[in-house]
Amino acid sequence: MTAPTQAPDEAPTAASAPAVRLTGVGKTFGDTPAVQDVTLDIRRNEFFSILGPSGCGKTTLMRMITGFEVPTEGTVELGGVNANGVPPHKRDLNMLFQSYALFPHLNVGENVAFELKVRRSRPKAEISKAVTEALALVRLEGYGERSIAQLSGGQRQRVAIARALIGRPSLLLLDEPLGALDQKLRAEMQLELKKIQREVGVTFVTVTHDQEEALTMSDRIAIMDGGRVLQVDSPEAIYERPATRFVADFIGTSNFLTGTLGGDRLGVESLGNLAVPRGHGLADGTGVHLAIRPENVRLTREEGEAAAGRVALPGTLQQIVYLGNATRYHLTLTDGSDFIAESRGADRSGLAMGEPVWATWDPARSRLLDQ
Amino acid sequence: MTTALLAPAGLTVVGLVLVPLLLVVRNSFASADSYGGIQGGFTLANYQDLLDPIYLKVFGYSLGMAGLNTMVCLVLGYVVSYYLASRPPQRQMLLLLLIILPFWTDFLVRTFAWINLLSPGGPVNSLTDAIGFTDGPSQWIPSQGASFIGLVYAFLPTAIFPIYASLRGVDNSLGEAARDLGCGWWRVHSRVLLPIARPGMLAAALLTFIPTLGVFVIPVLLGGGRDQLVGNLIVTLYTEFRNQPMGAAASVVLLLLMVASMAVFGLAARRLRRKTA
Repeated sequence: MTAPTQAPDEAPTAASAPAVRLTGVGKTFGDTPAVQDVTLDIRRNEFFSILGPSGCGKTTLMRMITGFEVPTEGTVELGGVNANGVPPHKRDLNMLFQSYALFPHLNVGENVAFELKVRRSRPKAEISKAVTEALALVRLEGYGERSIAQLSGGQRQRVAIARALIGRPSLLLLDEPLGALDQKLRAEMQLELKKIQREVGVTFVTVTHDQEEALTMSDRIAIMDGGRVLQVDSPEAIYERPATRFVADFIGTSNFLTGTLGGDRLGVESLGNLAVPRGHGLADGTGVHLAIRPENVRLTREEGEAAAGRVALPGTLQQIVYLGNATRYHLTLTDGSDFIAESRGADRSGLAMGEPVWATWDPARSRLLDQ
Repeated sequence: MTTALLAPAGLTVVGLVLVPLLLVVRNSFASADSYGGIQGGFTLANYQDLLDPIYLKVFGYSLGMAGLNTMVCLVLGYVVSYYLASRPPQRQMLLLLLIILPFWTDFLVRTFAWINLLSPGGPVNSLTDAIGFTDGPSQWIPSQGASFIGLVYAFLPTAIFPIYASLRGVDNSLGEAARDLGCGWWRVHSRVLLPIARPGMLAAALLTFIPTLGVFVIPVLLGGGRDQLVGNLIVTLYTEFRNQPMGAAASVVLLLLMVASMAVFGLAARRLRRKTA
């Protein structure tokens, strides 16, 4: 399988250096390692997501980029410059806080202008022009005089985005940016954030546990679990070619069959020898997982109905679940394990619950994972 | 019906606050008989006597001490409140309890404790000896400094509570956001946390400044009675000088000073509210 980390670009110069380069970064709190040996590059102007379940270390990793946490191992480079030991207020990056962290004693305009007033003395007219532009960017024209208490959650987030972007940092870190919004607003903001990112040309790094969020917004995603980065790839590659069993399970849904490899066949106890994708490059005798996405599984009544070359396993249909845009079929295989198939739209299979069925798939659409 | 229900409270206020207060005001315009009692009549002489530089100095000194005490309590109160508010919630409760604990002991007893602490060869003296700040027993009591320490000690908790209350609910991420947006340590406080704590600071100032004007035990026990606050002056006029009308006049002036400072704080509070509304 591919290495979970990405090879650094060759000999970076300041101009071509990645926005962020992490080399062997680790963080231990007391005896508990929160982040271990993370090496990855975040390219300039990309929308990068760090995705993982809660407690996987993604927030700690982000806080080391912002400077709120100091790594116990490794180096953090920002724009080609070692940032270890540089305090947060001297880093050319801003953060969008999950709670927005707007200053309650300042109005909207003063919140947005905050960084310009603190970082450098600028003429008043210039600041107010920048505030107007920043508010226009997040579609809050004319809100400058409002107090923070008068705003809705979605508006507060827009103010926080305007405040974080007014100084045009080279990097914006977003901590669970959509976590506090309701479903509908969330979908709207996903597109909006992506649009803003393209408009201002700032590298966005978002931390999230929501896979849908990461898949829709990101150019690339890093999947984290247990303090380690398991895979860094485009959303499509993460979904189509997961590097580990955890990734295949965490992103979308997968069926797993575990067995021992022998040539182009996988020996699975009490299920037999199944065809696997060709050219996997793994040695015979390796213990591996075969991952099959439910949408790649077809159900038939007879084994013979399956097209040639497809793997077919017998089972019993337990349940049919209608999901609106898809139908999900839960089966039990002959060894007692669960297996899921999915088809688009409503159920047109004519199958009844409790009926014996065959689950079939094209081995080329399954994936072998050795970890 | 409402009137009937309010009657007990109304009678209490009228009988125990308003009537004595009016008596004091009335007495301040009376003249004294030869034993210092109230003789009746109407005169402004008591107020004129208070214009004597000796008495004016007491009022000036009181205002100065109250102002200084307020400033020191605000600074220390802010530092302590910030520390408290940034602790984990469980720890906050414990630390708050430690601050409240002395209130369960009589104030007089606590002031006597300071006499022991500051006495020559006492714990504070031993400490300053140990770090080489002093050499041998030092006479710190009675003194103006000891009196001031007593004042700060007495009013610090009163200052901490309102400031802590205004900082307690503040999200930790506000300070981080300020740092993220370019604030160093000092500006995190000056630009974000202090302005947020301002209503609490104002309340703390009110609760410190006004009562300090009327304090009389601390200057007597720790200051040796040499530098008097208005409270001491009133006691002296009533008891030692046996001049009740003049004592009443001094009380009325103190009352007016308090009303005036409350008005100032009230105006400041209203301005603050209008700004943040």
